[in-house]
This record gives sequence, structure tokens and C-alpha cells, in this order.
Amino acid sequence: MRQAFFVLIFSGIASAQVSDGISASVNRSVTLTADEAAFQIVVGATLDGTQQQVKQALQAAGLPNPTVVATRLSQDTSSVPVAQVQIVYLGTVTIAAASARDAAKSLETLRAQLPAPLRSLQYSVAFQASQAAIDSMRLTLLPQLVAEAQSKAQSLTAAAGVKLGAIMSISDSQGGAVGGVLSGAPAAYARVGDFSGSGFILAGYPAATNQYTFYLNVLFHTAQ
Amino acid sequence: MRLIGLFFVSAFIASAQFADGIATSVNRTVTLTPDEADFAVVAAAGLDVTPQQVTQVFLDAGIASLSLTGTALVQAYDYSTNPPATRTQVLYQFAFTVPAPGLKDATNKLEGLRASPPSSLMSMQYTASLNASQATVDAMRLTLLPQLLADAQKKAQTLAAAAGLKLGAVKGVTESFYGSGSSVASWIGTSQFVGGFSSSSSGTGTQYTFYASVNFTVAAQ
Repeated sequence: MRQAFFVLIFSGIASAQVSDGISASVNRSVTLTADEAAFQIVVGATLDGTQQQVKQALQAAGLPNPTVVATRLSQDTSSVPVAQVQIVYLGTVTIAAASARDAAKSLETLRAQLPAPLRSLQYSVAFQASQAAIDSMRLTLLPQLVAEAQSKAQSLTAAAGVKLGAIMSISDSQGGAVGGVLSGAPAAYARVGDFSGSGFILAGYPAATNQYTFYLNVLFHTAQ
Repeated sequence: MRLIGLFFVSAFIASAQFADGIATSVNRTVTLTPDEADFAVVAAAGLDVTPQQVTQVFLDAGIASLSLTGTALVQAYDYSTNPPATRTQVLYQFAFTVPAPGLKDATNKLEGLRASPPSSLMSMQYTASLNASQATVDAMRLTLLPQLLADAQKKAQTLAAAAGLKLGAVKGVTESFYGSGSSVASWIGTSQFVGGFSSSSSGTGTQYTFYASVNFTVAAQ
């Protein structure tokens, strides 16, 4: 709700600006096919463990070249009587959506029998459209949006009694999974793991979305 | 954090509108290698213990470059008695940063204190997050800027083609970046710790998104 509020506010600010010329803003919302699966894996390992060991464990589970970084310390409360300190690693990898099921099965196997120095593991998967799919859709939609803007501007000039000139400026943008921070309708999302002893909270829910809105703003000259 | 991202994106959308020329905004998200560990330590002591004495405890444990970042007065309850006994104590919050390879060494020193705290400390807890240093962020910015400008040019080219225009020279460029923040802090402490600070560890994490907005002129046909 707050995000929608922000969008409305900024849209209002943007659209309230009056420039010389005839301006037309158009947009088109589309649902893209989720062709990739973004895995986020949170691994707790003993203090003696290394980033390389965590990466190797994930690779051995079939995840191709995951990015693994240490993020923070945590307390493994499942280790009794004294809770041990552990390092929390974050692994990320994006694979084809079709391979997600197999990768999840491999992670389940790994989670069932964690090799040392791993102590706990949880993961989430977000299904989303790849950048290539978004770029492709943009190329498809741009001519349609330009035509739509022209038509819109034409009707505006007709109503205002002026003549539509050449394009003065043009810009486009898209809303959706921009940098993983904007989300429309949330896509399939799940978090799997052993939460009992780790006290982990994932670093951030992957803001996956397959709903994209492509915006185009065109400013035309007025012709005599 | 999502709202901050949304703010940036919306700001770009807003700012990209109606400037003369062809405007494009691009971004890239990268995971940086964490090269520093930021620690936050909260120690509880009695009213008769000075801040210098508390600081000295950590210095004696081998933790240098400690800075006192906050002090609070709290009341602790001991529920082992009925009615619960109360005692007033002072919480001192410290922060220090070590290079990432020094994480384990610093943690072991703190664990030593946690296992057998000196009499001047009633309790303590600490947390640590691994972050990318400013130097690392700056280096990545320098690496990504040419790529972002190339992305923007490519994007502007397709926009110009769709609109039947010819792309001209760069007229204006703005850029920014933000870190997605470190993960939620997990405090490690003695069982009798009484909380008083709600802050998490510092740092901006390792996930960074770099933005660039480029405005091109429309070339003569």
C-alpha cells in the first residue's frame, strides 16, 4: 500500500509539471513469463568454516557457481548446552526456471545431511522474468507506445486547436522487478529451512514479479 | 529498504520526464565482497562502574579502536525471587570495525569475555555484520560507470529508433547508488542480558545497486 502511495505521489508530481509543447504519457502493463529462478540460500557455518567451503557445498548440491558472501554472526541455539557462534553466509544463484525443481531437491538433500562446517540451511526461490525477456518485451512494446503517445497527443492538439509538431523529447521506463526492489503482484515464493536453531531472518525477500508496466513520455513541439 | 529503492526508481521516473532530448535510466545490481566486519557491543555495568573501566575491559581483551556510541540507563528484573528483585544498570554500546579476515579473531576475543565476564560487567552481548568498505564501493562504481553509460546508450538507441529519431550526444548524466543494507542483526550474549538498545549493527551490506540516468540530444535527421 505504501509503495502504491509512493508511485501515485511521484506520478502526480511528474505529471503536474507543465512544459512547453504537447506532452503525452502512455503505459502498457504486461505479464511476462517467469523464465528464471533466483535462489537465495542462507547458510550457517561454524566459526572455523570458510566461504569457499560453503560455496563448494552448494556447488556439490548442483547449484552452478553460486555467489557466496559472509554476512554476519549469529547464535546457533540448537547447540546445547552452550549456544555456539556461527557465521551466516548468503548464497545467491539464478538458474533457468525449468531447473528449479531439481535444484530444490538437491538443496533438500543437502539440508537433510549438512556436511561440516555447515550447521543450518534455508533457502527461498523467486520465479521471475529474465532481463533478456524484459528487454525483448520493451523492444516489442516501444513502437506501440510511441504510436499510442502520438495518437494521444494528436487528440490533445485537436482539442486545443494547435498542430502537432516533431518530437522534442522522449523517455521511457519500466516498473516491475527493477533492481529487485519494486514488486507488483508477488510471484511464487517460498522459504524452506530449519528455523529452530538459527534465528535467521532472510536478508530480504526477493521481490519477484512477472507484472511489468512500461511507461513512455513524449513531448512534441507545437507546429504552426 | 524496498521503499528507498522505490523512492530512487520513482525519482528517476519523475526526473526522466520531459527534459529535452532522449532520456534513459539504467541500473545494475552487484554483490560486493565484504572486506570489513562491523561489530556492535553492548555491555551492562553497575552504577558505580565508570565508562573508562568498561572500555578497559575490552581493551584488555585485545579489542582496539573501540568507540562508545551510546549509553542508556535501564532497570533489570531478577525473576528468580518472588517478588522479582530489581537493579538499575548502565548499558554501554560500543562499535568497532576490523578487516574481514579479522572477524574470527575478534569474535573469539568477545567469546572469551562472554564465557567469563569480569566482575565489572553484569552482562554483555554483541553482533557483527560483514560489509563492503567505501573503497570497495567506489572501485565498483568506477568499474560499472562505463557499463552503465553503454547500457544507457543502447537503450536510448532503441528508443530513438522506435520514435523515428536520431540519437545525438550526451547532454546530461546523473548517477547514484545505494546498498541494500546488512541482514537483521543477531545478538550474541550472556543469558542475563537486559536489552536497552534497539539498533542493529551498522553497515550497508554487500548488495549494491548503481543507477545512471542519461539524457541525449536529438540529432538532426
